[in-house]
Amino acid sequence: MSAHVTTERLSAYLDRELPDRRAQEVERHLEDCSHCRRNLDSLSRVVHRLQGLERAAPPPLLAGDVARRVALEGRPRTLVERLESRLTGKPLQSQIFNSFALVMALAGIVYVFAFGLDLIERKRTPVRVVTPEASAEFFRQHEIAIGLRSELEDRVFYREGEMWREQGAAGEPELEIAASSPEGLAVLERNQELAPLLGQGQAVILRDGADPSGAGGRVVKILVE
Amino acid sequence: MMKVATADGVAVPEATDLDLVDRYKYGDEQAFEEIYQRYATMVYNLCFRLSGNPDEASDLSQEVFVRIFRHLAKFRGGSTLKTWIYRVTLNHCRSRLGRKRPEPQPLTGPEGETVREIEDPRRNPEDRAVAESEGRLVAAALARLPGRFREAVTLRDLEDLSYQEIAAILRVRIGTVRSRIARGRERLRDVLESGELLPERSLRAAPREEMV
Repeated sequence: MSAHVTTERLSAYLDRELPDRRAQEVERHLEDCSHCRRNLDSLSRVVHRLQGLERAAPPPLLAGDVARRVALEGRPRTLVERLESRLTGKPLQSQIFNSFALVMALAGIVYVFAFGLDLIERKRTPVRVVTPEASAEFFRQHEIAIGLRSELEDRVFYREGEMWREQGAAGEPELEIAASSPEGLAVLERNQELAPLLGQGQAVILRDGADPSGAGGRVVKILVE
Repeated sequence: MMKVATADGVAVPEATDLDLVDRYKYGDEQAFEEIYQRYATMVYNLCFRLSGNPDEASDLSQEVFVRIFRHLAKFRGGSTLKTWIYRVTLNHCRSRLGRKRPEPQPLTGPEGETVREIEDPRRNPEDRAVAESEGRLVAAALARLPGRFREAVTLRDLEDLSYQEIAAILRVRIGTVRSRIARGRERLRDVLESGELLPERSLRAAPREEMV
């Protein structure tokens, strides 16, 4: 290195803030250059004098003044803290939970904004009670068009007018009996799942006495008078 | 982690800065007091060196701690707490002091002394008097530096921070830090070696205009 070392580089050298290679270059130069050595020495004296400046202790009253100012301030609470105090009344340790709570809260806010009015409307609409009469009327109006199907246990019944027909009980019934007759009561006793289907003036055609696979038995028609 | 001996002789780990910040975030007021105890000297000294006036340094320190109190909940740990507090202090001093130079403190006599130094019991009164006189001289020279140089030199030579830490606090490149420190030291050398601040000469010396 022929030219003198800059003051900036000497200053950084003093602070050991030069890369090793640069520091070695400076050291080699200093061996032969009294001008740069003087420059370095004078910088070093300045640093030494600065480092000799005493640290001042904070005034004794400062702590009290800060405490008073801070007490007047009242600490602003973060959104997470406000949520936490509402949810639990005490701090939560997990940052993950904080993030989760925050996300859920935001999702809740979005949900309320998006659907809140709709929910309120729904609450104001009275629940429609469907009476058996209304239901029967509804059936009368729509049964032919849409057909009605009822699955009771593992048996399936179709509605035809005022009559239910069990799937697999095809053809004309061998026997028509009143539900109130001893034989009708006996059939209903054996097929208790029919009770919900049968109303006044209705009938059901079913295969009575079939084995679990649906084979055998006889086709009967039960009338409720 | 450092350990602190308790009254019953059991050493317990000292809370880290991040522990204190976490406790503060969860409403532990004691945590802020601990942060104050840890950083009051640092904040006060930086305010003092940047303002050059102990009373103003006290006011500035108060305001800095109120700012810390207000904003600590937003501290995310992107830097160390120390760096963050330095930055808060520096920014506050900059905004409060603007381009105003620190007031030159009287160079002679202990009568006007309002700064309470951290006492070294090993020093005898004569040594202390010499140190005080030298301290006033160097402080006066430092007060003459333009703000950017004074900040960099103070952080390096008084606060003993690395160039990287200073760059993080000042939010400038390391090359800029290196340049400001060198130029600040160079100017200090000129002022101190010229002897123009010595009491008998300072009485005659005309006020010097800022060079930058």
